[in-house]
Amino acid sequence: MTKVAIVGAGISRFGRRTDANMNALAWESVSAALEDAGIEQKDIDFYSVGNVGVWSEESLPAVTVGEYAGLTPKGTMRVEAACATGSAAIKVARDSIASGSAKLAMAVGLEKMYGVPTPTIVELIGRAGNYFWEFENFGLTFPGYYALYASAYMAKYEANEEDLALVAVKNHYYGSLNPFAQFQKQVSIDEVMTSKYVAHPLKLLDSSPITDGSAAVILADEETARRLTDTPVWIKGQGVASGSANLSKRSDFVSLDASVMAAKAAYSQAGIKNPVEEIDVATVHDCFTIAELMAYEDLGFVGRGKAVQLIRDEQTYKGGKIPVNLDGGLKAKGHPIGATGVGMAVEAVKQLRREAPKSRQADIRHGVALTHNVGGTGHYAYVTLYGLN
Amino acid sequence: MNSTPNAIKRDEKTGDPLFIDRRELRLRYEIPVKDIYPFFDGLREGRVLASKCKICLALYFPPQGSCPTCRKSDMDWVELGPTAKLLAVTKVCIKPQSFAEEEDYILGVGEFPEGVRALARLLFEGSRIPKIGTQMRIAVTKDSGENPLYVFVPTEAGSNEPAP
Repeated sequence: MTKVAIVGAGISRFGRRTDANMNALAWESVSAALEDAGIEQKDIDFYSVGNVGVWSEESLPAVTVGEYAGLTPKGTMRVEAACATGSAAIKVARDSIASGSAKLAMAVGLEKMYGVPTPTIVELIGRAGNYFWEFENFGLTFPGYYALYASAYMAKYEANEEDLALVAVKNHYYGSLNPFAQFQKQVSIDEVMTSKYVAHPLKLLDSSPITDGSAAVILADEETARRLTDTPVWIKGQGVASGSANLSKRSDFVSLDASVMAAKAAYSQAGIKNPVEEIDVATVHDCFTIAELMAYEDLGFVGRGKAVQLIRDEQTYKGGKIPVNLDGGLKAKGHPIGATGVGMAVEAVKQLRREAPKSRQADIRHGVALTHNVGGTGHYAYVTLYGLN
Repeated sequence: MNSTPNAIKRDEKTGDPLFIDRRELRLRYEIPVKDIYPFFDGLREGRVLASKCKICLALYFPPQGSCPTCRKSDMDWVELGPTAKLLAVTKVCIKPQSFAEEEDYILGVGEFPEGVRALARLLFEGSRIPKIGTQMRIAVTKDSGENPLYVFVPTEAGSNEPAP
């Protein structure tokens, strides 16, 4: 495949953004990415906009963002892969370059979720599976989907709710060091344990928040990338997979098969044999604390049932065996659904360029970063490996 | 505040001006069920039916009218259960808007001896969350709108929960 690199990256502040509409919110990251790449809008050949929408005002965000951001009349499309939408937008942009149809492409991730009341969001996200069989009759919610996994995982591996809380404590710690994060404050195990149940055994502080935010990356072919920057961040591999819409069609509830398949493909493309030894830093999809623990295993950081020991031993903190979510993760940085995957790419770029704040900058030895972006509950999975070489 | 047009309010927390959309959108979908209508017939008779491909004998639940393996739409209908083993369970506390009036409810995935699984409400005494591995029975009850609905209930033998 043609080599494709990220040559520009930008991100908005994540949170409850009553100060910016969808287009203005997108512009914050688009303008930052253009600035970072040192290019103008006219240089972009194609742009994708990852946005799930429904809870926000615009039905055609790709064109409204294009008009606001001065990208019109470039070719575009809106991309959707639930919470993995951002990574899907990157895939579309990357593929447009790899196919030779573009030399410079932009992937924008955007979500404005605070446009409607919370119960409406719970209603809409609850439909993110098989609407007819699992929502219409039974009212399964999105936290409920992951809570089903948590119940089976905890029973099989004798994990407890305190183990889940350790993930929240870590990610809030890093969120407290990230000025772009929604929650820039630490939480204690007690605070997590005494927060209210959302869907048993998951509590409010096991859950990522509702978030407004945007992120943008600019991708280039090899020749253009080398002309624009001395530090291109190459996409070394991207594995994609999907899972059944109905959770009742899953073979077990302790692992996301789509994550396993996506990781295997990405590792194969990038020539990664031993992830923990060869990856400097990872951002994984911690929409709920259980999701981060399953990700440790699905991505091959540890064997089955060993994720709990990894977090108990603090081996996913900076300086540990494999630092995970040094930006605060979805848990504390926030989870603007369509922007999350692009935000992960921005974090990978900053980490690899050693531009993260020192307090949360990973030790970059191999020049490889991983992002793991799951849509729904393993309905979609995108695992991407970024590298300096 | 008084000088702002009617459509604009100040956000209670941030004070930022917000334009309140005056065009409310209400959606109610009409979903064709012709190819799985035997399932609804069965439910009215108190039976939970899965579809079974007459050619490759693959069993489908939720039922579907076509077999993607054989690329044919020739299905038998077979009854599931009565017993199923609990694979995963949750109690939903923060509810969607359309379920807001209900008490917290328990949902679980049960696996039938035939190998297929179903997600459904669990109706256990005192809203108790049963342990993973519990043997349950599938039954047909009625929802709040008097429509038949399948649920998981304790087996007639009483508690079949695995030992701690």
